[in-house]
Amino acid sequence: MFRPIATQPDRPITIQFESQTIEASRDDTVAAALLRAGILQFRYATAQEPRGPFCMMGTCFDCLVEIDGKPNRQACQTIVRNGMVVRQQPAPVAATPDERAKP
Amino acid sequence: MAGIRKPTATRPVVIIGAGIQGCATAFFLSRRGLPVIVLEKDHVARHASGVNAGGVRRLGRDIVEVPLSLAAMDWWTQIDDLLHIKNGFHRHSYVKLALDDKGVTIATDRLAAMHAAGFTHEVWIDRDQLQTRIPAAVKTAHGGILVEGDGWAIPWQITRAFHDRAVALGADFRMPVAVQGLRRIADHWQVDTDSGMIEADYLVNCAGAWGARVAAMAGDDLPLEAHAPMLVVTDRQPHFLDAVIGIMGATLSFKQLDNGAMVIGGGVRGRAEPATNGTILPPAGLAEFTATALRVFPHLGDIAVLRAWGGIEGYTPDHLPIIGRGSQPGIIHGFGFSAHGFQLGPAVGEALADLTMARQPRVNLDAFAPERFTPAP
Amino acid sequence: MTINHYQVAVIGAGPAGLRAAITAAKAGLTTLLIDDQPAIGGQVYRNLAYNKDAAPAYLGNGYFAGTRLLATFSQFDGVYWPQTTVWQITNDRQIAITRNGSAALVDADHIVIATGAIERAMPVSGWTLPGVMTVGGAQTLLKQAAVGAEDAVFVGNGPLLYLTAAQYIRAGLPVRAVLDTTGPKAWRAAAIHAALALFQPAMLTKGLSWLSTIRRHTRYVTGVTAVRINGDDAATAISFDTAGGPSETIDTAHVFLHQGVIPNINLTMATGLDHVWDRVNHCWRPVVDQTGQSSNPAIYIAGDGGGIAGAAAAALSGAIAAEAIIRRVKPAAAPLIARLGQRLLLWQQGAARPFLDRLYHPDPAFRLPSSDDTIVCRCESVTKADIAASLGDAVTGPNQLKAFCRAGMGRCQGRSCGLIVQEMIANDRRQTMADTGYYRVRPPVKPVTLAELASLDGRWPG
Repeated sequence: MFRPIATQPDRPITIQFESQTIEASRDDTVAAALLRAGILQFRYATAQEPRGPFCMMGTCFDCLVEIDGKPNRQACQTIVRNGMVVRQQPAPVAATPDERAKP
Repeated sequence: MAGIRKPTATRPVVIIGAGIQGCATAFFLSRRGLPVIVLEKDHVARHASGVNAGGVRRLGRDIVEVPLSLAAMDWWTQIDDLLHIKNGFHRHSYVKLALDDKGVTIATDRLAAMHAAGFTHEVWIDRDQLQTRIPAAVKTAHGGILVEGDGWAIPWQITRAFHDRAVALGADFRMPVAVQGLRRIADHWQVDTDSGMIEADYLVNCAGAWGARVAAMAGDDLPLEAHAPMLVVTDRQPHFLDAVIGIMGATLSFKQLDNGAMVIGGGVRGRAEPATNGTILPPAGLAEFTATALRVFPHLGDIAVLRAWGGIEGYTPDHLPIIGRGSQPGIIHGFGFSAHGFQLGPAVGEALADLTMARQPRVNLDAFAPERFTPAP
Repeated sequence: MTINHYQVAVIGAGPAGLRAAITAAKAGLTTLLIDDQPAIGGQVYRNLAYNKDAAPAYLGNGYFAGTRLLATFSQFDGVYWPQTTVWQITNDRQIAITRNGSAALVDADHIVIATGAIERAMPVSGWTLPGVMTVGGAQTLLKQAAVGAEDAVFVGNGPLLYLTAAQYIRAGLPVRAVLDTTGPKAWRAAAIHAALALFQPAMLTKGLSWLSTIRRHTRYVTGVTAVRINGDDAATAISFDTAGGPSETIDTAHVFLHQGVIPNINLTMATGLDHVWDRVNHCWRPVVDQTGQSSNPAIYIAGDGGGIAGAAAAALSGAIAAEAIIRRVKPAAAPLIARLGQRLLLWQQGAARPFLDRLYHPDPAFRLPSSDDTIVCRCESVTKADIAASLGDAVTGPNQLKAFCRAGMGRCQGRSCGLIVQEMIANDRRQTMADTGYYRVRPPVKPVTLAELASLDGRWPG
């Protein structure tokens, strides 16, 4: 499990991940905040398998999450904002023609 | 028609270019038992035929192209059996939206001309009918022109399938082989390539954006410009669209693939560098047709574009293809499809095979004659 | 659409980009520095501007050596755009960017691309499981958020791996094991370059000190020949083999992988610059002359993006590139002695590289996927078996493979799978890596939303 090291700086920011409320520092990336909170599974990939951050530098695209309704945002490249709502990015399944997305 | 003989078994037909036109021609000729060699300087479907938007449409054609397009559609409806593939033609409908009054006027005029010429495949649908068919489309659209039974395909899959069937029927594809010169000797042709000389009874020039270069080797000076129409592919979305979408009076082609990704194009041109197979994509050009796409589907703003590309295509001055006999005996031209040759491919292949064998093609090809570019003496 | 114009645009705010931007601006050229992070420093000095006050000693002197460079940035009087993504560079040096949710075009007379390096992929079974990260990723988390994992296993080889394991240990994070994949052949290949390495003694002494820390505080296993990460929804254990030893399994939820870094070539390739296959380092790198000038005379490459040489060499190469540009704009004879001195210093700062590059050359066993069900293309979940089934006469290179399976068609445009796929095809066709070629990388080099892209067009509300 990831944990913080030694002294705790201020964590004045609160974000939401699914049903969890998470405290974060002002300059945390979303990925760092989620990992610190013990979350390892950020999304589901093409074969429905869970994935989490891998490179932490924006080149692997495995840390994708939905942020404030916007899909496929790189958690390691996004700085937290107070009140941010983060959700797991679902697998990129093309639904059947019956399931139409509302505009 | 002096000098044209039915092909004998002595020398093969040499087809230059393994795009859709070349591969389809190879397929039809091989099916008819003729020996065929296809010379391709890169690989099957490397250029326009591998990377176009894949629209399989009768909608929006120049009126003189409609008979050829209708003939091609006969082949498309049986493409799986023809090419031994599955689900080759994603058939549903094509709609060109009229987003504003100008679009409505263009549509009205077009439908009048089509119907007057006896073509009934294009029909008007009004705002309500459009909303029922395409709920995700912008609500302010006035309606559009619909063709039921148009659709889309994966261009490299179809082109490869024509290649595979042609090979199975005996065609000999030689790649990469670049043609460097053409020489008419007595009753046949000599083809100079970077891998040696080949003799041919007939030549079929399906060299796409390089078609004029090849034509010039045979003494035919035909006008052609190379450009790179651009496309993008997006992230996947849950399925919301079956029809292929265009716009009256604007450049757009928009479809959703089975895996949920969207392919957006329409013909905004990037720069082509045929000598190096290079394509240059101006960012402003990419912005132009993606902005147009968002006029139709404003809810897609947050969907990511994953890559852009351009295919090297040949354009004639009147944007109609060059299909017909060259000035010398034994050479047939089939190039210059100006970014709308994919759907025509099966019928063009059949027609080029007919011309090679001195048969009357099913469709009147007068509008595409090379002579239209020859200055009158 | 907004178009700004600069005499020099520098892409990347790591040591190379910083030195290039500072040097160009100081000479009076209008200069723009673009970076995708919120703060300067790149990867190597990530978060240094914040950390220098908190001063965590475990990060080591190498990290804090960057403090002086970062401090000189306070005198930079050019324009600095953080959190800005470059997604295309055109032939005539228009740079397409996104920032604050919309796109813009920047015109530059000269461009310095200083986008650095990325980790070489290490496709061991289970490498896509949550809990598995690159060593670089673990180090970034440590620098940026002071967050680390307990009982992690480090796997692979190379300076970054030993440094990060040592930093972990000094930070009080117990490390379960370090599994070193360096083989005996590598020592033999590197030995003849060992003398050169003595010209860069700091590099050697640092390395020895890291290894000493590792040996004293954790289990250090050498000669590892195979590795498999186990788990269903997340990593739970790692199994490994050594030459002539029994297989072993260690329970762990965190595995950190590393087998070297390679130039990040997606932007340079999409820009159409010439690249060459580097046989020693088993990677592609842009073709550059000794000032960093690429095949486009107005575009320069500085730092690890032009060839891996480390942070100190990167900073110097940034200065050299900027000075070459300055000479193009304001031709003036720079003193020959000074330029020779720079070249010598640049050489010295990379003197240990021939030795280290050969010692830590990635073994084929770890460059290629270990079993049939190992994922190769992470983005599209394409396995070794999927790719093997597609290989054949029609697949003459990585671009032809895309007609048969989705490898390389995902968002990362080959950053993870590109070299793996290239080598699988090269082996299948018994041809060289150079002849096999690489994916055709296209803009946008990083994904851009439809709204961002459309915002370049005057008709779309941005």
